[in-house]
Amino acid sequence: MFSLLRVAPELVIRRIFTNDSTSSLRLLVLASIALGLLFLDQKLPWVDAARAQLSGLSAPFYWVTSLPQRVGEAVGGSFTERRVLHDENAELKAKILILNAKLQRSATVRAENVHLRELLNSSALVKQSFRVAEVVGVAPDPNRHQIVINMGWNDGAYVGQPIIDEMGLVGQVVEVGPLTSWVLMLTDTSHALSVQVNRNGTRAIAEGGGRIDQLELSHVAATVDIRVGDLLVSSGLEGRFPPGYPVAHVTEVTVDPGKPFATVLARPLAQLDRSRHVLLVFTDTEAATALR
Amino acid sequence: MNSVQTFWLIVISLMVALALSVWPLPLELRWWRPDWVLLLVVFWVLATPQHFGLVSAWLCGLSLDIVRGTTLGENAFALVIVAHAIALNYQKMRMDSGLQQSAVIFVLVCFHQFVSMWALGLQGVAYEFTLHFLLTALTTALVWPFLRGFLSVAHTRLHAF
Repeated sequence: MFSLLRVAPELVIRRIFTNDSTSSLRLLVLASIALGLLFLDQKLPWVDAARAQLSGLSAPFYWVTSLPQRVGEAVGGSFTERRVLHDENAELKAKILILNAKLQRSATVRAENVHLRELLNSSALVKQSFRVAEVVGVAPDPNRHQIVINMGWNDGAYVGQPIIDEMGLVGQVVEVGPLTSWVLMLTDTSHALSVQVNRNGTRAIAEGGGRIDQLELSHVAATVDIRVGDLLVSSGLEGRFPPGYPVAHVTEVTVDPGKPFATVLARPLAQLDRSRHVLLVFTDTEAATALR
Repeated sequence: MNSVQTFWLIVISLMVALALSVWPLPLELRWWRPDWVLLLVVFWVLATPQHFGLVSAWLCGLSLDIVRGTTLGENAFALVIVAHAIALNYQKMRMDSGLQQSAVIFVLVCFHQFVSMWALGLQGVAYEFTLHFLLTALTTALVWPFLRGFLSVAHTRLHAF
C-alpha cells in the first residue's frame, strides 16, 4: 500500500543510516512537556487560564458537530403539518393558562412567605434570573459526565454557576471559554452536593457514581427517616447551589444491620442525557442585599 | 509544492478527525468510537515520516486535549510516544499486512486508553475500571484499513497533480 507513496530512495537511506539520538532527545523533551502540563494542571493557576483561553478554539467543532441535529430540528419544524401545529398551539395555550392560574396563587403565597420570614427574622430569599442555553456537545469520554453549552464568559457564565433544566438540577459550570462552557453533571463521579429531604428536612450528601440515572446518598445513618419516593431538594449548604431546587427521587433504601450506614439510591429528576436546553441560574445579589 | 499540499491534507484530515472525536453519541455507544486522531497520527507517520514527526504528533495530541476538554498534555503525551514507536519501525510496518497493522493499532489504542485512565486518576476522578476500552481498540483496528485506503488514495492523487 505504501509503496504507492514513492518515497525518494536517498531519503530512505539517510533515514536508515542517521543515528536516532536527535529523535530520542525530541521524544524526551516533548513527553516531558506533556507530563509537566499534566502534573501542573491543578497546581498552577496560569495553566487553567491558558486552558480557558484555548477552549475558545474548540467552539467551532462543537458548533459543527451539533449542526445535523439543529438542521434536523429546523427542517422538521418547517415540514410539520398545519393540523399538528394547530393542535400543539392549542395545547401550549392551555398549558400557559394553567401555569398563569397557578402563578396568581404563587404571588399571594410569596407575599405571605416574605411576611412569615420577616416575622421569624430569617433572611429573605435570594432572587434569581435565568438564561436559556443550548447543549451543543457531550463529553466524548464515557467516564466523564459533562456537557458543553453554547454560552461562555461573553454571556456572563462563570465557574461554579448552577445549571438547571425544566425538571431539576443538572449540575454546575466547571470551565468557561469565551463562547462555550463545560458543565459537570450531578452524576459525575467527582460531583457531590448537599441535599435535603423535602418531607422532613433531613440533610444528606448526594454523590454521583458515574451512572447517568443514579445518585448515591453517602453516610446516611440507618435510623434516619428516608423513604422510597422522597423528593430530594438542594439545601444550598455547600454554598454553591441555590436552595430548594428539586434534585432527585429516592428509589432505593437498603438498611443492612451489619453496616453503620444505609444505602440510599436516588434517580436525578433532570433529564441529564436528553435535555437540549438548559437554564443558567444567575443569583441576583443586589436584589438580595436590597431585600435584607 | 508537494509538501504544501501534504500539509493542507494533514490539517484538513486532523480537523475532520477532531470533529469526529467529539461527535455527540449516546452514552452506550461512546466506547465504540474509534480513536480517530491516533489513527491519523499513525497514518501520517507511516506515509511521510519526513513531514510528520514527533512535534506534529504532539501538536495533534494537544489539539485533541483542547477540543475534548481533557487535561492539557494527556493526549499529547500518549500520541508522541505512539508516533515515536511508529517512526522507529515505519519501514517494517509498511511491509506488514493490513491485519498485522491492525493488531499493532489495537495495542497502541490500549496504551492510549491506559494513559487517559491514568490521567483521570491523577485528577482524582474515581472511575470504575472496566474492559470497555477494548471496544474502542477493536473499532479503531477495524476502521484502520478503510482509513488507510482512503487517505493514501487522497495523498497519491494529490501528488499526481
